[in-house]
Amino acid sequence: MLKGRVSGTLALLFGFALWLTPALVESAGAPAGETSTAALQRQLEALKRESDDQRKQFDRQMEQQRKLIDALQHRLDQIQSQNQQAVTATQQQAKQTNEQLQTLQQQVKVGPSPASLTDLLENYYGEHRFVVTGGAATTFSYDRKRSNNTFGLTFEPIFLFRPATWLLFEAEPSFDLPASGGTDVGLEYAQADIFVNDNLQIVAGKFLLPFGDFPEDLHPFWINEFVSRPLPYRDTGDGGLVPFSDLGVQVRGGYQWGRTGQVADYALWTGNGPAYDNSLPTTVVGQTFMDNNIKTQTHSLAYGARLRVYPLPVSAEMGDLELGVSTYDGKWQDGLWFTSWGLSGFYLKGNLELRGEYMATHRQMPLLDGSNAADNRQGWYVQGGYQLAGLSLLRSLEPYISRAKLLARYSGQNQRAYVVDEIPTAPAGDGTDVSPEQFSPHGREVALGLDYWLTPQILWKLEYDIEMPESGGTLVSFGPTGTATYAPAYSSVDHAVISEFAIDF
Amino acid sequence: MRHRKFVLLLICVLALSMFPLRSRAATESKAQDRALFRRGAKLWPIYCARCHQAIPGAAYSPAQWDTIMLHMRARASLTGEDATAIMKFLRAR
Repeated sequence: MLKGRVSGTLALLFGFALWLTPALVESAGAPAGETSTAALQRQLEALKRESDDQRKQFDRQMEQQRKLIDALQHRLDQIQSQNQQAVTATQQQAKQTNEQLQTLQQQVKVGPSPASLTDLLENYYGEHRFVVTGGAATTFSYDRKRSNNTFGLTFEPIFLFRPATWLLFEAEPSFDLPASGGTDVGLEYAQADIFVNDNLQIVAGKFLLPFGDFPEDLHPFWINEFVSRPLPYRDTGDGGLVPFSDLGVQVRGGYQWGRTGQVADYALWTGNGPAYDNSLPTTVVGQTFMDNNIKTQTHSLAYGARLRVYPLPVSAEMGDLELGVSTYDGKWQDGLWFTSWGLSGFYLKGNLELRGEYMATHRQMPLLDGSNAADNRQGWYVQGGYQLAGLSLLRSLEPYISRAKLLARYSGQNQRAYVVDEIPTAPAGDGTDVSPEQFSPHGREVALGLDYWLTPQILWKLEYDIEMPESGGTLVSFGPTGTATYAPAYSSVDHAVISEFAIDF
Repeated sequence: MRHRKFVLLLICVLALSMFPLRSRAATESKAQDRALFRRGAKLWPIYCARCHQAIPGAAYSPAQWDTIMLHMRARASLTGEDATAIMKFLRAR
């Protein structure tokens, strides 16, 4: 039974094996193998395609990532650059701010300069067609012999108005507080200047007389280096051997005839002419001019001329030299002439200054006493000055010493008489001191001076005068009765000390 | 038409010719300014010192100098060229 069962199982297995054999043979045999390979190949190709797709996708992703990285890198570079620029700008701004702060601190420390102030004022006031300048001074006089010890005050503003580049109006009133009391008010000049061309000007009005150098150029107290005036220019008021002003018309100008600095200037004028003090009971030799000859005294006008030549060119560096000649002539009374002529000159080189003038006048007198004696006068002055600059002594004090100037002047005049009633007895702002001896007909004076410029426009002057008149001449006095009496002139020596603090503004 | 072209050409020639003229004029003006300044710098201490201390330019504003120099030109009988030169120097300060 068991044997049968085993035999049956074996037979079953055998049959199953036979059933499986064709399938196995088919899978390993030719027709069946071809089918399997193609499938495999298809699978392989599919795998390849899939692999290629994945590789391409990977490459695309890599490319995108690379671009993204590049973009990020570029952006990073931009940000870093902007950051660097910001840092640099901040540093520069900080530097500029620091510099501006330092500049402001320095300006605050130094304070405003005159130039900046004037710029501010200029911006505020505009074109400055109208300008006020001029000067003010206070004077102190001391004369032991005459027991004079007093102050005086002078104020002379100058008003300038420039309506056009070719036209200027100018006027200078004067206010003096003399020691004698009261206030003397005068008009130095008031004129219109018309500039026709480079070499011609027309002046009309009351003008300072272009005679020599002193009346027109040197007599303002902020220009005159002495407190007093030279004797020929020291009569009462503004006058001396010639009047200081006239009312009329001038033509004048300058002309360059050579190299730079080689010029000549001229002035020709006509005016009302000289007028003498009419407060005296009668006309006498030696009487002074009137301050204001504002109306013609005669039926004719006066004429004058001045020519000055500067022969040294600037490039020669030989200094500056002036040679001048002047004349002023006119009738002071109908039929009676006043004539005058003068020479003037100066030389400047470095710290040295020399100047001088000589003048002579002739006045025809009426036949009062039958003598027909003429009123002849001569006057002169020579003046030297040395600025104490460039000295090798005391170099540490050089800035202060260089502002000082030593001066000496010798002046004199000759005339036949002086009128005592016209001689001032008290010092005044016009440069007269307190010594009557200076008004002697044969007056002589030595003046020694020390000037000190605090600035070019602020001047302190100290002057020592020695009056030493020569004998001769007469003093005429009318007194309360009006009768002329004659006495010998002063001939004694007197000394005076005068000082002045003058400001040119 | 020819006339219009001629006018256009003329305008172009004139416009082109202006450039060298203008630049030369500007150069000459600057050169003249410098020459005037140098002249003024030389004359200022000499002419002023004939009568008074030489006042520095900073003492007054440039516009004030215009008026004051006119006054000084009249007072000192300066030539117009010398007065302009000194004013140029003083205004520059």
